Amino acid sequence: MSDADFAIVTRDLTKTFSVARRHVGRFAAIRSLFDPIRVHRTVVDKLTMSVARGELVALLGPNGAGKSTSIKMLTGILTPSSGEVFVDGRVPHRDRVGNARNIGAVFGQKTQLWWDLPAKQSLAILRDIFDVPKSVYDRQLADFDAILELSEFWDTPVRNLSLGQRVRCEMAGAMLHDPSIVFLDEPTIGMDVVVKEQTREFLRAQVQERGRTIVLTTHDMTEVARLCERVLLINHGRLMFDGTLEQLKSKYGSGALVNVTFSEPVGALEVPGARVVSHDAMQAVLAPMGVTTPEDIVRALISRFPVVNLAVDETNIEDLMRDVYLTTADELAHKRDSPDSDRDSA
Amino acid sequence: MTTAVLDADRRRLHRSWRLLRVGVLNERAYRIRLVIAPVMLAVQLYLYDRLWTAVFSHTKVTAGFTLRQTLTYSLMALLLARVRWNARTVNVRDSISVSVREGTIAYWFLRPISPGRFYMWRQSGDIAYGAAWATCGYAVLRAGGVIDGPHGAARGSVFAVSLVLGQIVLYYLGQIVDIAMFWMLSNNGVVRMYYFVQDLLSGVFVPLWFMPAFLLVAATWLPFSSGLNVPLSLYVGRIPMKHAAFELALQAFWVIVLALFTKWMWSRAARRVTVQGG
Repeated sequence: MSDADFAIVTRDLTKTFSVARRHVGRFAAIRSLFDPIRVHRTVVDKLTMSVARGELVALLGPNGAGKSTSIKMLTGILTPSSGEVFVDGRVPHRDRVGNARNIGAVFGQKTQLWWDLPAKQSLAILRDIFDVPKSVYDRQLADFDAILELSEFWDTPVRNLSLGQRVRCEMAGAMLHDPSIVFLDEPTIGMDVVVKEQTREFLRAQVQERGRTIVLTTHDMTEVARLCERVLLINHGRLMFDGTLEQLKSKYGSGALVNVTFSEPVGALEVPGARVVSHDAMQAVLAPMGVTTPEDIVRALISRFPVVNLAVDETNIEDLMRDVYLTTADELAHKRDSPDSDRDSA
Repeated sequence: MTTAVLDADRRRLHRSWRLLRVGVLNERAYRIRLVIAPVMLAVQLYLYDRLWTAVFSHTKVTAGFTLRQTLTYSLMALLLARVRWNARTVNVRDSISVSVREGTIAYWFLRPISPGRFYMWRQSGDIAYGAAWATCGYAVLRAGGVIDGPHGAARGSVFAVSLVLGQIVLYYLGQIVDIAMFWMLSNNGVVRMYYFVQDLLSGVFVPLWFMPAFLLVAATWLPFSSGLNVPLSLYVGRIPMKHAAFELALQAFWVIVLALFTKWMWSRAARRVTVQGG
């Protein structure tokens, strides 16, 4: 497939920020004020990925992994330090206006609505800003209302809306102009389960009925499991995984954890084919790696250590992601074998 | 023209109108402001009237001004300062300072209208709202015989042109302080200091002609004087009509210089947007 077949393409996309660090020692505060130490921090590191049209993709990673920065480069808000980025064939930061007509975005914690005005008035302002014809606007609003039930509260000033109500209005605002690509940065953060489900239904409809491409960042793994077929995992700014959730499970965990309790303190805990997830003197949690099964680990533990209790638990997706984040961080640490590869450079 | 072009023009007009109205709608959301604004203005005007009357109680002319000229200049300066009152409030949620601080500035770059143009329409709405209050105040003061009108139609016309140019100068100066937020990330202190200097050197506190020579020279060489002092001095006759062309040309010069500078600032700001708070 060529670039034109994809909604989003990035190649070696990198973003480095220059940040000020404080001096230490005598007169540190004054020296930091007038001559701070400038340090370059690479937040997104040679990110290469693509998203097909009509896909709903989850962009996952721990806090500070570079997800939001990546989204801001894809939306054209931030200018990359190096690399290439194309969104629907456009370079977003060079053609911000053209890009803006074609994309929508919700940054969960930040509102684009006018705080003191009724939500519907905000939507009407956005309609005018995006130059949406009245007939299209009315139709869109009716469609959104059917799922998100906006009319129950859209005459309320935004400042008086609950978080869930506000984010539903944000979603409507982001898609009012019928964008083909939508970026959602933690849109359901802080919502109750009912509203979350309503939002998911809305997003599913946008992909299946409207053919929109959606890139979703979230820490809610239930959301990922219910919405996204494909997962892009970023850690320390690098793409660590690109595949389905099932592939992620098979790569980073068997879906089971072995919990063991010892009768006396155990020092170094090494079991072939197992990764130690946590370990204190008397207890440990191990995860199978590769072809190793939980039963293999149980047998190995009984034969080598003073075991008094054993339990095999199926991992839930939250646990899986915790393991994935820790494992990918370890993988990166191992890759950095020279001082030159340090990501913070003065 | 085709129907499509007419439709597009109409929608653009609609957009501008909608953005112009935001400031007024925000004010309406807090109705107490609609009461406080005229009361505050009335108190300011009354106190200035008493102050200058007391100052002139033992003299007829000071710094080339009569009491009547001083009252007209000072009270109109207060009214004109009200024009940009909302536009310069740092705590308005869709101001640049709050948007940068809260990270919502991201949305300014996600719209098919440049941030500079969006800023212009929002500010224009606030300025129009402030101008409506100023006009009401002017009408009341004139009707009450507290201040004089311009001497002659020619002077009135020159004043009107100078007033518009002066407001544009002040708009651009305020915009520069606002855009600086992209670099400073917190500029409340700078904003307060700037508006004190602007008010001092444009003639809001005291007519510039009362200033010591060095401040008068400094104000004349800086753009602040073009904001209020020039139009008001033309209005009250402190600047002769034969000098009006030069003063208008100087104001136009500042408009062009500041417009180019803000355009350049916006282009630089767009390259260094940071979105605080993740």
